[in-house]
Amino acid sequence: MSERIIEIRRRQIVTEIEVAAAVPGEGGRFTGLIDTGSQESGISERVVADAGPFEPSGYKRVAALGGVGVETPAYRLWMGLRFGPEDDPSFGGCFGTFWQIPSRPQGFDVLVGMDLIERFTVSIDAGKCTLRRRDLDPR
Amino acid sequence: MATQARRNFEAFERRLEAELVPEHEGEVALLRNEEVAGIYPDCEAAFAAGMEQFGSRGEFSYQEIGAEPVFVSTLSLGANE
Repeated sequence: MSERIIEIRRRQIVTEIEVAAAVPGEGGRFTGLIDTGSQESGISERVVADAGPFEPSGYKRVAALGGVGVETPAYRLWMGLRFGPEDDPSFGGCFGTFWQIPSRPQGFDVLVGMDLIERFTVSIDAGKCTLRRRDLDPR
Repeated sequence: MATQARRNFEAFERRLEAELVPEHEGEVALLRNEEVAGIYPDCEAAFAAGMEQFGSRGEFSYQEIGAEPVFVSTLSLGANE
């Protein structure tokens, strides 16, 4: 199966996200908000502690659209989605340098930004969001 | 005590980035002990080189040279909390 279908609740698209240091599936699973307003994905301090702990690979300058900016640690990790059955999963995601969210907005541990979203075919219709792995997309 | 990454970032902001931008904007600097250990085309290459040269995360860091800020939603910075 190459699709993840997510029910949209309270006008938010929330799904389980995998975060790992090196090998997909060998890290942790966290609650992520699909956030098309963010250019790059971010992780909370809890992800750094629970899936790691990880040492920062650098820092990023991060700015909100309203103009507020911060410098925050960034981590070289794999992030993505699990597809298929629990005992025989496949993964769709990427390695990246993900910034640490200064806060934990509304309890989400991952903000899934456009760096990851653009790797999937995404459709929203009738209260559901479908994420399809691009590498298996017939187009 | 500040991490290797934090110390490197402060040195990068204070002096290294301005020196590197004219010839290396858009590339990635591998940093170790507040000095440049190499220049690479992307983060993946810089990370691989750092692991090979210094052995483990935490012993080096890397920074994109002349990078614009990453723009995120205000929610992400906690403005709505």
